[in-house]
Parts: sequence; structure tokens; C-alpha cells
Amino acid sequence: MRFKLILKSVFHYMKHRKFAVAVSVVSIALAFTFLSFTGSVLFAFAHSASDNGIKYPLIIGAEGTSDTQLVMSTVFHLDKPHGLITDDVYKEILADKKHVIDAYPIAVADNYKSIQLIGTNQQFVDWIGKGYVAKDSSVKGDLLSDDDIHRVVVGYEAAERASLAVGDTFSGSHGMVGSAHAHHHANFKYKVAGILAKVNGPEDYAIYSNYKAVWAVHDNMHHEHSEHHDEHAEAKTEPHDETAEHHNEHAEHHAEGEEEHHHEKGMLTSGKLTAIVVRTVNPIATVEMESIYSAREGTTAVNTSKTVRRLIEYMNTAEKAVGIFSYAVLVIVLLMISVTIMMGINERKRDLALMRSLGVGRTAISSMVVIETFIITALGLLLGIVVGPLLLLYFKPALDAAMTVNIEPFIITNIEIMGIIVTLIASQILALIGMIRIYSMNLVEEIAKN
Amino acid sequence: MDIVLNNVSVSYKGTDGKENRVIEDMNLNLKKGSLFYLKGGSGSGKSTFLNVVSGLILPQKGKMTLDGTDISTLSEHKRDLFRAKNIGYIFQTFNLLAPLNVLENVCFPAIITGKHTASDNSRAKEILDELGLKGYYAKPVYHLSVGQRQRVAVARVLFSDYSVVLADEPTASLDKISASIVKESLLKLNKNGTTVIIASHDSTFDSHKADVVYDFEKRRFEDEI
Repeated sequence: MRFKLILKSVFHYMKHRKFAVAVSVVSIALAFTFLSFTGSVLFAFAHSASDNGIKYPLIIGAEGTSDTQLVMSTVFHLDKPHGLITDDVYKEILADKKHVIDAYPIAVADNYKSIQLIGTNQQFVDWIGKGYVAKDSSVKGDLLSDDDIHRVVVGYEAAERASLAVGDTFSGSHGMVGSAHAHHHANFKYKVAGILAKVNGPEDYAIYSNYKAVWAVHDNMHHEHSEHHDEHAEAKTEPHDETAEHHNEHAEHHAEGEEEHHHEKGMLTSGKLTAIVVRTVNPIATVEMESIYSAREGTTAVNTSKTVRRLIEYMNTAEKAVGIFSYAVLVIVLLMISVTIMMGINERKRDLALMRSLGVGRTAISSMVVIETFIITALGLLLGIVVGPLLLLYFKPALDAAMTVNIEPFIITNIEIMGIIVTLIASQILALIGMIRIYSMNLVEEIAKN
Repeated sequence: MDIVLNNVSVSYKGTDGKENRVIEDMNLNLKKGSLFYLKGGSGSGKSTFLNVVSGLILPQKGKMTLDGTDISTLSEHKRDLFRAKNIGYIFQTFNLLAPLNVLENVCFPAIITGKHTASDNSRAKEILDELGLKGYYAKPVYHLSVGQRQRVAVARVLFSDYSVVLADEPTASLDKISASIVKESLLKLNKNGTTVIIASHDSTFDSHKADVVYDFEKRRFEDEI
């Protein structure tokens, strides 16, 4: 009963400062939502990195490509692959039965509606996939086969995003996702032969074609480009103003497209690949192959789990930085709340003095501040715990697609648990300051004033 | 409850830094059930005296006992409990706790001391009915008039069966009807054996003969020459 009255008093004072209380609750909720949001995104990425690190043991790429670049482009379809390797390397790896269970060619250069087109083979799709949600029943045998290199298999989320269904046709654009210098391959049509079942990974956000289709597209492009060069060489001899203009345009075209088109030497034409994913027989084989292909001229090898571990370490550092920043924001918000509660104490001095005269002890009176601070903090945290995941749920499709991960909005991450603990402890420390203030108040003076 | 003061002095430091002695070497032996009337204008020391008796402030010099208990020797917590159990206080204004309704305000001391029972509510309602506050039980106190609020404060004192009741200008800001109800209630309390100390600078209580009268302006008891 006594506690009920104290609680009733606390709610009464809170009701009389509705605006300040509402601002305080919303401030805590927003600060916590920020923490929850970043925590979940980092968690999802680290989780995905960890899963895929195990799935793709070894990746072979062109010499000069960094480990992170190779992993990001091959596993997460996020970065650009730099440089090319020949398919002789692929054939050689495939023949190495001592170290290799299987190896898959990867040829990445184009996209469709910002979704990466990955040139590979049926074995790779079978390995990463979990079956199909839709399939072209007229196709006998493998969907990605040399019989018809126009056929593609689309990842679950990619099909949703690009509104692709079995039987649809489209043509890719040359250049990586987000490139400003895209070149449309209008004369090569891909045909959707299957939609993969959801795997909750980066694979959901890609389109898989036969790697020979990628070669065909770029052989054709190379041919067009060579003709264009010849025309240009002829035109150069004509002393005409228009030719000068054309020359300038050509020069600009060259400068802009150089990086993306991998002109001449870098073009993904027949016999070239951007990477090879290798399934090794055991971890020792992974280490041995890593050392062989890292030492060899023209290639580099990446032990995916090692690179992913390093990536996760970066993530942890980022998580810590975000955590510290978020906790600091929360503490600042709590300081603000503490100030408003202190102001509230002055408003209720007379009631507190009367309580003292009626025999309520200093401790019971002071505890009201602790209860009030706790209620405001808990309400703010509760709101944040509810709003954070809902916001995350709302932004999930965009975030998942941008990061090729599967964000779980309703998982409580360590950073959030720490956030709750830090907020509750900090709020109670600040409440103690208020408590001390009331404890040291001369309430008798207030009675005397009366 | 017997109240005994031996050479009690209380002083405050004024804004000019000088020591302002409000009560000086006061001696008093007030028997249980007495009616003690404090006279004097504002700032003469009446409220300070009541604060000393209630134990809200301790005398800088001398000794005060309530039924033989020197409350200055008690810890603050015990003093709070002693006050909650034995001493009722009625102020001129701000007698009620804004967060609570009328009934909760009346029962508040019993609730705080953990003595509140279910039957207390009906007794508190009877007292409120006698004071003309029938049906006001669940009303928030800030919806009442000044006179009604003062009657609720009196109801709280009547409900709690205190040994001592201190009233600081209880009728100063009341209309005639409310002032009369408050006065009669306090006198009835005294008649039933409660020691009542009333500080007032108006004439409401002049017609009634108090057992002891002290004039704070003259700093002497009225029967003293």
C-alpha cells in the first residue's frame, strides 16, 4: 500500500510534466533504436561473413587482387574483381585430385538492373543452391549447359527485385553494379530457366549464367570495339572538323570506360575468368593450395575463412566504435533527463516537505527519483526495443539487397544487451545524484516558508 | 502527551549574517490534554516553536522531551516514525499531497506507518462526512476549495488519533463556515484528551480559554506579569 502510494505520487508528477517525460522517453528510444539498428546490421554482416567463410574454402584470383577484394566480389558480390586469370588454371585445379573435391569457374563483369550476373557452371549452382522454386520443365538436363548458353538461373531475392520469372528474357549491361559507364549488351539475350529457392545468403541476390555466355558477350563486344578502332583510324586521316569532334568523343569514351571495360588486356573474353572457387579435400589442402597459387606468377589465392576472420575482426572494431558512440549518446540523453527530473524536484518541494512532516523518511522520499528515472528509462528502452526491430523490418529489403545479407530484425544482439545494461546502470547512477539532492534538501525550510 | 521544554533556544542566521534568536531560553511544562495557544505576528517564532515540538528542527540549546523522550537523541529515521505515530500537523495552506485523492490523504499517515486496514477507509469516510465532505472521497485534492482542503487536513488529524496536534494558522485563509468547522474540530479533539497547540494571529480562537497562552512578540506567557 505504501509503495502503491509512492508509485501513484511518481506517476502524478510524471503526468504533470507530460511533455518533458515524453521527450525523455522518445530520446532514449531513438538513441536505443540507433544502437539496435547498427548492431543488427553489423551482426548480420558478421554472421553472413562467418557462414560463407566456411562455405567457400579457397578462392583463386588474379595476381594483384587483394584478399578482401576477392572475397567481397566472389562471395558477397559487393566489390569489383581486378584482373583476370586463364581457364588453364581452372583446368589444372580441377585435375588436382590430391587437393581438390571440385572447383568452379567464376566470370563476373555484367549486371542486370544492378544485380550481378555471375558466369559459372551448373555444379556451382547445385552446390550453393537448395533446389528451385520454379524451373523450365522443357529443359532436359542441366539448366546451365553448353547446349544453350543463354539460359540463366536467378537467385530468389534477385528474381523478386527484378521481377523475373521462368521464361523471361533480358540482356545484361557491361560494367559492375553501380557503374557509371555501363554498356548495354542488347544483342545477347539471357533467358530465365530457373528460380533458386531462398538460401538466406548473398547467393539470393545474384543471377547465374554459363560462364561461356559471359565469354560470348565479351568476345562480341571486343569484336565491335576493334571495328570501332579501325573506323577511328580511318577517320583520323580525314581533315574535317566533325572528325576532330569524333576524335574527342572517342578519347573521352576511352578514358571513362577504361577501368570498367578492362580494355584489350583486361577484357573478359574467351578463356578468361575473374576467380575460381575451390572446394578442397581438407584444411591442410587449403593451406597447401593457398601457398602454391599465391607464389605462382599471375595468380593469388585466398583462404576465405582467414580473410573472413579478419573481416569479422574489423566488424568487431566497428561494432565497438558504434557501441561506444551509441552508449555516449544514451548517457547524454540520460543527463538531459536527469536535469529535467532535478527541475521537477524543485516543483514538488512543498509536497516532499509535507511528506516529511507526516513521517515519511528521507530515503522513501528520495527513492521517488530513482523510481521515476527507472520508469522513464524503462519506457524509453521498451519503446526502442519495439521500434528498432520494426524499423529494421521496414528497411530490411533494401539493406539485405545492398549488403547481400539476411538481417534478422528480431534477434537481440550483444550490443543491444550491453546498451540496456549501460542505460539502466547509468540512469540509476544519475538518479542517485537526484536522490542525494533530495536527501540534502532542507525541507524544514520549505515548511517554515509555508 | 506531556511536553517539557528546558531552556530551549533556537536561532537563525539572517541575510545580514547576524544571529537571529527566535526562541530564547524557553521553559514549558505542558500536561497531556492541554490546549496551548501561541500568539504573535508573522515571523515572531510561532512556526519555529511548532517545528521544534514536531522534531522537524532541533533546538541549538536546551532540551525538549515528549512523554519523557528526548527526541533530539533519536536517529532521524526514528524521529520520522515518532512524528508519524504521535504528532499531527495542520499548516495554513499546502496541507495535502497533490498526487493523492481525499481519502488517501486522510489515511496517508496510517499507510506510511503500515497500520492501514480495510476498516480504516470507512472510519475515514465517517470523519469526512462529519466535516461536510460526504462524497468527496475519490476527488483529487486540487479540485477542492481552500476551506475544503483545510477540512481534509483536519480529517487526517482526527483520523490518526495523534497524542499531539500542532496547528499553524489553521483558519487564516478560510471563510467563516470552514473556519468554524476547523475550530470546533480542534477543540473537540482537545476535549477528548489530545494535546493541541494552536498558533494564530487572528481572533478565531480568542473566545476560547486556553490552558496556556504564550505571546511570541512579548516573549512571555500571558499569566506572567
